[in-house]
Amino acid sequence: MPNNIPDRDWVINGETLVRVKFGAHISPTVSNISGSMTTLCELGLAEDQIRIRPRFVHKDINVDDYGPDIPADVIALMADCTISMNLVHTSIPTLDVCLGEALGGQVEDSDNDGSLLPFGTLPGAGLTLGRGCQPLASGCHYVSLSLLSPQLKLPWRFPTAYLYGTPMEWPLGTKYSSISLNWRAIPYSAPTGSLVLSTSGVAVPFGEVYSSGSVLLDHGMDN
Amino acid sequence: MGRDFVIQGESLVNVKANPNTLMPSSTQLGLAYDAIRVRPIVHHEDCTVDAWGSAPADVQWMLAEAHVTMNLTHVDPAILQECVRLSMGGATGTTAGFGSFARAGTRLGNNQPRFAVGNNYIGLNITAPIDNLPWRFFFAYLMDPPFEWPLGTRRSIISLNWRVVPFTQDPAGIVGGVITGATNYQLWDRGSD
Repeated sequence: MPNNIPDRDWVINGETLVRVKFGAHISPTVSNISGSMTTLCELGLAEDQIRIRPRFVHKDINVDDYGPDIPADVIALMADCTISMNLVHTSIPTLDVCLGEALGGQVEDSDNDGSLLPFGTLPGAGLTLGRGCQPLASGCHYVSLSLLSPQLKLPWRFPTAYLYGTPMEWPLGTKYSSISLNWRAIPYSAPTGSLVLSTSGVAVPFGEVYSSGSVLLDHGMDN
Repeated sequence: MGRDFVIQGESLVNVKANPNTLMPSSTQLGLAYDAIRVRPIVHHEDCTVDAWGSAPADVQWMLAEAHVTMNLTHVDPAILQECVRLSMGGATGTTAGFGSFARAGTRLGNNQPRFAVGNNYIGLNITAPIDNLPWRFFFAYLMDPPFEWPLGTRRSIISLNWRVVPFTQDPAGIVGGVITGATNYQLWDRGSD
């Protein structure tokens, strides 16, 4: 009789500290945020459990021989993941940057004057978050989201995440604010190269985007 | 012989708080009328699985606090009032007399280190002249009801209810870049301020 008890145990993550790592454009020199802002920051400590919900997308291949409802095969069409958390011990400047990046990037990097838009000010519609840049490179506005795991030793990292939908709910009052955040992680992949425009001399992302090998999540940690 | 009577001795209560208080150094609060009672309140949480019904298959440790109750009979009223003020959020300013409190939502620790200005927690010390085993509670405040003060011609035996909490500035507990949580957090010790 197989005995697999040693493989099973309680699943206790430990104190789940949330860290974020920004693109290289976030630095004290371009920040109008008080204090020192670096690319790797502690965002906050969770009040209760953080919930990770991957969403797998499949599509049926139907053939007449199998009838109308049962697929003869299924195509895997990638996945994304949502992460919800209630933070209670939070870095507000870091959260501000997370919100700005999710809005399309607080740094006006198309003109790149090195300044941040004021908090709550929207950049132009139509901007992509990746801007064709590699994750964590200057100009890439995805955030690498890390959930630490001091007890289980099984941290979670979402290399290209952003605050989405209703990005946060911030209760105000005399009691401490438990700020709920909703993240979405996607398997972002940058184009393979760039093209220099003959008219302006500006390099723009150009080339193929491959889904194969793109990373949605892993158990690593940013440092 | 490892056994003996456990006799604390005259339990003088000393308190210490931040430099902007009446007790920037260890200061006498009062002498107990009878035994001071120290009650640790420990928190556990069950790990339940359907296969084990309503009994826990394991139990998780979920930290602790402590309650300290005392009846003081030989008291410094000014120090007692200062303890009450700090426990009510540490009201400040010229209008902050006895009975004044800080605004709702004021944090007692205020993200400040122990005994730093802005940290309203009180260091609670109970001496032990016979047992030579004093008690020190690092982060204490007067909880509800903070005191009961009988009034009349006879001497007042003032009862106090203290709560001791494991205050920290960093609940993640990061030491040298390593997350430790509450590992080795000390709620009380046998020292004195």
